[in-house]
Amino acid sequence: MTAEKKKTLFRVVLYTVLAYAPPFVLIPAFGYMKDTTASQLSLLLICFAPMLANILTRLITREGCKDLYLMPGKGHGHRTLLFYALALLPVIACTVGVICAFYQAAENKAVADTLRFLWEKDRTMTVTSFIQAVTFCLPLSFLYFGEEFGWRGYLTPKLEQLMPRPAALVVSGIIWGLWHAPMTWNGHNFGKDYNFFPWAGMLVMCVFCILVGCYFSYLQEKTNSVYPASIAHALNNNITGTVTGIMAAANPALMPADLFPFTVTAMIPMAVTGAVFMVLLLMGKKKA
Amino acid sequence: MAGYLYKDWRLNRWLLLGMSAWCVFFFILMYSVLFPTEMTWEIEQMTTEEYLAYYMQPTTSMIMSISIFSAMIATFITDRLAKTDERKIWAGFAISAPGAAKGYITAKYFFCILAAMPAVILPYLAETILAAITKLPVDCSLLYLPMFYLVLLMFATSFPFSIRFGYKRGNHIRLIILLGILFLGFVYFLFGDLAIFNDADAFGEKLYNMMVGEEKSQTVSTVMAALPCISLAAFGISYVYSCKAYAKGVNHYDG
Repeated sequence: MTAEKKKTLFRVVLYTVLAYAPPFVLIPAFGYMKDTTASQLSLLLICFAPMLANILTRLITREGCKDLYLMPGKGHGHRTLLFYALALLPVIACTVGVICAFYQAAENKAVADTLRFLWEKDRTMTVTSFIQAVTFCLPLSFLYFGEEFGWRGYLTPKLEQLMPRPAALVVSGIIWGLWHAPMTWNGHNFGKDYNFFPWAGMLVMCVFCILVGCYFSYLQEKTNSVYPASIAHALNNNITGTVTGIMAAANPALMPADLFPFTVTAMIPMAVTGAVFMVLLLMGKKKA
Repeated sequence: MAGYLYKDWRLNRWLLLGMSAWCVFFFILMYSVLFPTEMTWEIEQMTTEEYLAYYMQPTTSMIMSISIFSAMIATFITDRLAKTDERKIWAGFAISAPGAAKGYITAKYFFCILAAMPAVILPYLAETILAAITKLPVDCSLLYLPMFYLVLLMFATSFPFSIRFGYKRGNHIRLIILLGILFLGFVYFLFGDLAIFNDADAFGEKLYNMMVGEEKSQTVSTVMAALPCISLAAFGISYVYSCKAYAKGVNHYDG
């Protein structure tokens, strides 16, 4: 291994330790989503842990400010706008996923009746709530910039210097997925009432993070920027909750008792999207 | 483009940092006034519902004050973006640089987005910290998130005029448009439905309920959904026009 690769490996390990520290220390110490000041404030810190890990790693290893990916786009002109438009794909994927999840969890007739009610009787509020959720993700993407500046802005490019691209994408996804482990252990996304808790949840998170990470990495590579990935991440996290909230408000009986199959079904369209972009990434030429 | 952004940051950094410092100071000041160390006897006797009703309006007002102040400073900063570079020598340099006029204009529009972000970030942090400390269910996001789009809309309507006709003349055109909007508001106050303004004390509470509370109004909801769409469309159209108009506007600049 060359000296340069050893340095990069050290940076990757240091970054991973620094990014893992907040969730693996704060959540066991203060709890997850508890009604205490420390628990609530620690969640805010955890959101920005990857960003802080990026900054601290650069400071500690004296790496400097090369390849920060903080410009909005580079050199592609109108194509940059196309890639920003691709960041809106989670709006469709997450909406389809949640509706399919409701069909899987509840009676088909009840779901169809709810959708018909939302469209025919409550159309204005449904559409305006949905548009608000989508458009407000742009300013709220600063919360997800805290993650993307770390995962796509630092870790994935560094791993691509150490190993072939397919391996780098898989390892990056696993690291990102396991970063969620303390939250998954506390019922995040999947609840606690499923077989093989929490290992099944962590496995699903890792697979999901590998696939969706490829989609975010595609956006980052094509624009040379972390902003489209931040916007896509914000949409992925918020649209699912919004659509679920709109459906549940119209018909509370639709909410499933078993969260695990509901969430897994809701994740499938985004995972398929990620798989498509994984193929596009692997087919494309690696940036020099 | 990094150079242009660094220049604008250097020219405006004290405004941005001062704004953030003031918001932090304001938050600490209001928190110590609203939630004194020793609770009064009346507050200690309150039920949970009375406690929430007592504190929701002042905490909402506090968060909104932070957001409005940040948005005002952001609008002031973005208004200066055209004025500071209004020289033929600078315009010649920007057009001859590798990015040409488009790279220069892109940097300005991107800086506008960055300058508008504190109008969301600062109230969000204030709201999160306040909710964590006091356990009050503070959620004013639907009130301060539109401020971001208002800043973008203000910039989108003013910057192309400043670029094309020079800062002074561009300001005159913007003033005429604003006076037109104020005139329409004046006509509404003369002939429109003013029942909502009858009770000043209940006005704030009624507005809050119309926007996010139990009496969520379809009209208000439609406006809240339309504002970001109009803002983004105006921002895009303004950007395209500014790229084309920059070279023509140079003739209006001083030496």
